[in-house]
Amino acid sequence: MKLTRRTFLKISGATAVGIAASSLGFDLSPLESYAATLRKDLKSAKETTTICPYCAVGCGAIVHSINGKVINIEGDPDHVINEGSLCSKGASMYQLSAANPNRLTKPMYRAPYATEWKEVSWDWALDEIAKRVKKSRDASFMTKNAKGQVVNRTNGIAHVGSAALDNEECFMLQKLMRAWGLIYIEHQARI
Amino acid sequence: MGRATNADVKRMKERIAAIKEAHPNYQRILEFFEKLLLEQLKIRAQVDCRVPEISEDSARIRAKEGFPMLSKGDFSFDPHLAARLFRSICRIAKRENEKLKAEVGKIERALRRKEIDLEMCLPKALEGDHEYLSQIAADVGIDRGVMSFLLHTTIKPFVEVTASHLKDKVDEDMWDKGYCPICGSQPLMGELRGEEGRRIWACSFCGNQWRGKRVMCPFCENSDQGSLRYFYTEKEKAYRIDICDKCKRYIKTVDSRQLAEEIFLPVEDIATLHLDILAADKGFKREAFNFLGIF
Repeated sequence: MKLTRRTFLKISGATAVGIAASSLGFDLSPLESYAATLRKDLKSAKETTTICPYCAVGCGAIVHSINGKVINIEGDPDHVINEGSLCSKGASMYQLSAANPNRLTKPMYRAPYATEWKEVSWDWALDEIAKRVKKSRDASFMTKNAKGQVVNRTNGIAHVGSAALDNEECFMLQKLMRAWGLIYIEHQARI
Repeated sequence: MGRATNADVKRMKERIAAIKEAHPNYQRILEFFEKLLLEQLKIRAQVDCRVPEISEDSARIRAKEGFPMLSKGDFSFDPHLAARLFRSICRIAKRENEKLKAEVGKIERALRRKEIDLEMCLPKALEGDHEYLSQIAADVGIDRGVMSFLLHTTIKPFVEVTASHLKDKVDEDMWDKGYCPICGSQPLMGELRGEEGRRIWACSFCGNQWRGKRVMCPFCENSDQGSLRYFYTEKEKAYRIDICDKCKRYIKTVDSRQLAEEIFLPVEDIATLHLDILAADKGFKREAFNFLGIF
């Protein structure tokens, strides 16, 4: 018989079939009772591979979930970039999930000289940001510098990016800030 | 374990003792298993088997094509040493329970009357010729499961020593299959090992352990994450039952990162029979059998 990979698999697959079900005379009923006590607590979880959202290294991770709810995130040992390890930030990815009770879900506002943060609506926050950007930019915009060269910039606003931003978000923010004329564009990771 | 050192044996005994204390239900079955393992280890120290010559080129080409290094017929054993181990196992088994006492007694009688020839049966067990063995068992009127258990427990140390000699020839980067790179058999149990949680499979036939893919069914090679799941309980977080909704088979996995002691996968397999019961309940099938031949 010519041994192809397929026939080989058929042969090796057949090995287990012939062994008759038998417990060699052992009494398995205590184990069955024990299994019965665990039955109601049996959970069904899923593993989904993903890429860490933080920096451009692109480490692989495995997300464990039950019915869409994240229960754990760990490095993917089969991922070519990180082979299972994650940096401390990547290892804390789980904190981004709904399982983290401290995760902010609404914008927070602390007024000038106030000591407490308060929750505000997205509409209010975005309008307020737009208003203040417009005010500062109008007040500080510089078309030409002292030498008379065209610069079209504002020194009145600075931007600090977040370590939780992904590549695409950084790209968009960079475009927006440059369009406004900002030159102080920083990233939290460099501070 | 290739050639088990005294330290290996000591740690294995400690692990068995720890499980017995935590799960008194497993006491009898693990004590029996431990006696068998110790008997096999005793023989293993004397095994001087012929290891098939495999050139590096041939190993590489076979691995690339998805073929294991050996077929089961390539393994060999010393008939005298095997007969000695067979007799020891019969002696241990007969003392265990009424069923084994009766069945092993029948097999010993059949051997004395030359109705069964051990030198014929052992190679058949090695090659996995189940039809032949079923026929013999039926002809002589003995329990097929008990006969299979005795034969497989006898050839195991020889097979394991051969595999341990070939382990270094396996190129891990070339092999991520669900079957053993040395003998081509299905895995008995899985492990998530090391800080990174590498997936390790333990071969059900030659005992070799190899690295596999984390998210893949080892039996049908399904890697669609939508149809792969695992069952677990909060009470036993180190253990899980990996299941494939496509082929409806399962394999147990132990996450050794969650256990303090060193583990031995064949021992963990026996000590988690209750998970086999739960998996069978849910309609999933086991692919490779342990020495009990159940599920």
